[in-house]
Amino acid sequence: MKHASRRNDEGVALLLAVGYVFLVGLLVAGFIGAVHGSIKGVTSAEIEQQCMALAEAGIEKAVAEVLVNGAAYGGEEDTPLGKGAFSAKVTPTGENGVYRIASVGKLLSLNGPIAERRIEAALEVSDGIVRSFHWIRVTKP
Amino acid sequence: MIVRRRNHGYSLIEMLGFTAMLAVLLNLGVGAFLSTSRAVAVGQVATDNLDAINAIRRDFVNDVRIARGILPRVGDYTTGQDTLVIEVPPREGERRRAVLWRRLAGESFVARRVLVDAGDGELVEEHLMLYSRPFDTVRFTLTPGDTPDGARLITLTLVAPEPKRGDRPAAEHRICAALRVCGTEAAP
Repeated sequence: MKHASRRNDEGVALLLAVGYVFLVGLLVAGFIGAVHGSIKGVTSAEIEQQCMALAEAGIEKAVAEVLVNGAAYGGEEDTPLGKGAFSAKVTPTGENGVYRIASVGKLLSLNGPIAERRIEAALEVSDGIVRSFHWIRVTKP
Repeated sequence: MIVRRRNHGYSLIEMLGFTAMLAVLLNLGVGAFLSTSRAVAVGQVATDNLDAINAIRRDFVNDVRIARGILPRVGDYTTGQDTLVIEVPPREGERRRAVLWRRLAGESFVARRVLVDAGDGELVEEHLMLYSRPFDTVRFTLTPGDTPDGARLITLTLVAPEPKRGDRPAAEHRICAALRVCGTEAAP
């Protein structure tokens, strides 16, 4: 009887060891997952920053063009800049020297756009000087 | 009988099994640890680069937006691909104020110098700002014409050093800013 009871206990240590290893493995996997999630966050922040810079480049290009050419500059499509491109559209609001600018920045890869951002801004120009300029909104098209 | 068997310790097969399991676990653990450490290091560099680029973007765009024009030359510094000199509005008691952007000579850090003429006709350095990250490429492009005359749009290209991991290309950042006035101011 005593002999049989001991034999029944013999597998418990192995089960405990397997459970312990599984638990430690789970903790390590959770930690590694959290670290990789944080790295992915940094990468997407970098992509977002580059995309915003492209959209902002479209706005700035439009400001430079409107200062010289006024309403004759309507915008441009898919102008390449670094690893992306921007498109800008300038619309006169009807008030003298007041324009609405919309710019879309696209970060491109070989397979197409990775991300896009759209910035809308309002611009007032007179006598070759920017009188007022402000962003209206930033969106993901 | 049982007590005697236990005193004999583990059998060779048990020890071989344990060693094999330990080797597999250590291999997996060390591999995961090394890969995570590398990823953390790359992520830290990317975060530092983003912070530095954001600081440069904020100051650069602000300087260009308030600038009166691009100066072809100030002292030993000539506006070109590696240097940008712009004239900004002077503060009270100053005759002129200029901001000089360039990569620090012999190093890879971007420097922003504020030069002030307090009345004696000479521009002297009032402030030097060094941004915290090195860059392989720091280049200024003037549009149109690539010369200060008539240029209205300035593009600053920054390329961070290649990361050690081969699967991630070096990030290239371009910051564009347009002058808010037409034409350029004459150099001193």
